[in-house]
Amino acid sequence: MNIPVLTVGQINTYIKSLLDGDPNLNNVFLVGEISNFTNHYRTRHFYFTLKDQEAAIKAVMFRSSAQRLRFMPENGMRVIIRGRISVFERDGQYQLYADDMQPDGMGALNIAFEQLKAKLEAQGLFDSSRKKAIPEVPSRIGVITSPTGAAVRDIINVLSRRFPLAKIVFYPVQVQGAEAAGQIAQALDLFNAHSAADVIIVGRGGGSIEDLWAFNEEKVALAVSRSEIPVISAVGHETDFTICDFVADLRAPTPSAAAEIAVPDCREHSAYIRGLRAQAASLIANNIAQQKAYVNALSDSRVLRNPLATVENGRQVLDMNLNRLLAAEREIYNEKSISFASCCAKLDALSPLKVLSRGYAAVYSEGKVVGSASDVDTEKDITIRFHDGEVECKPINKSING
Amino acid sequence: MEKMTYEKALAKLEKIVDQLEQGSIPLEKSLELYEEANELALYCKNCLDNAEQRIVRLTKDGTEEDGIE
Repeated sequence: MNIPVLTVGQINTYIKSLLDGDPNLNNVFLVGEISNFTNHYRTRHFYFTLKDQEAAIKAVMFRSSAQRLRFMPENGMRVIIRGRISVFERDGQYQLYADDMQPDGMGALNIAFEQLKAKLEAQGLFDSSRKKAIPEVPSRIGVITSPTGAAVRDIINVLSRRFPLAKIVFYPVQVQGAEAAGQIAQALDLFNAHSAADVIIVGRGGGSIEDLWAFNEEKVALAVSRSEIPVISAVGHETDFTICDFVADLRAPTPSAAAEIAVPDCREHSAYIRGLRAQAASLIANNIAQQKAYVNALSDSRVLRNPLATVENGRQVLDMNLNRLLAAEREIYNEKSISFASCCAKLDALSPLKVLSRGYAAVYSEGKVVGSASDVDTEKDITIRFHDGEVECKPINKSING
Repeated sequence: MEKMTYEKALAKLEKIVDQLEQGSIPLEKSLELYEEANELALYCKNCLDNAEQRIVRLTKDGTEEDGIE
């Protein structure tokens, strides 16, 4: 067998690739106690060791994750860390790369909480794009809580005071104990199956993390997320956060606050309606005033004040046209008479009578003009026409010019 | 006016005021709308003034029963 010789870097890279390829190591939850904690003064990365009675592991939390923590880790603090195991190749050191950290008060419950939270978050159940709008004026408020707790009283009191118009549709459930989560989920489905409300408040009053636990269970989270009716989650006090809060369309810090959010204030609405009415009245008054002004403007117009103006105007136009017509006619007449006179003069100049008047005479035979001596029939009479009369003649002799 | 829910009446009232605001409606129509707006406002006011909280309990088969016990 031929075993290759490796560099240290190569073997570390190889080991790192083995660890990185193991899905169990890519997402781990570890519980332990912090020691050797350093908050690096320049990079703001956290370096520490997580240990218990038996063992220890080096850990690092980079600044991007570290700055999201709501608390500052300290030596001796028990914490639950979500992260992955990988290798720091330079030192050949495997270590925990921490993504999130919770102080460990409750151990198992906290881990469950963190695990479910991470799972549902990865499924997108907390996405703001999934959040439905709470109706502005609901007519039916669904309330899912315990019939005996303070929460139901608080909710009813606030709803009655703020907006008694809306009907309260109550569904009693256990809010703690083994049955609670199933009952709450069922109630949410029931409201949806019968479209029994416009918005649902689900919650309970304050208590320990065990008391509130039903609201951290997956079945409740899934029922909230599949609800078509918007859900307001109101679990415990201001400082209590549950999975149900993250999935709900809206988180209210307390049950009373949920009721405040769910409905508008009746008095504000009375004022609003008064406002709308006044607005309608002033709009209509404006409209009438405008129409009036328009009608006045119309009746003030020239046509209505002096209806004959149009006729007079027409008459003027007519006269003007008539004059133009006459003038045009006269012009044509003048032109025509001038050309007629010149025509007459031409005619006159060409008239045969005019020729005769200068001493010439015309010869006719049998009513036809005879233009040459050779045409004269000496056997027949001829007529000579002068400008002032005619003479009947008998030809005696004719001689034709050589 | 036929029975309608408060929020329907309110939505209608808001719509009419919007229409009146547009200003392009014939006068007679706008007077009709105004009259309707007045009735709606009165109706809404009565709803608010005379509202009595109704509390019902939803049963497993989806019906409602009065009271929370």
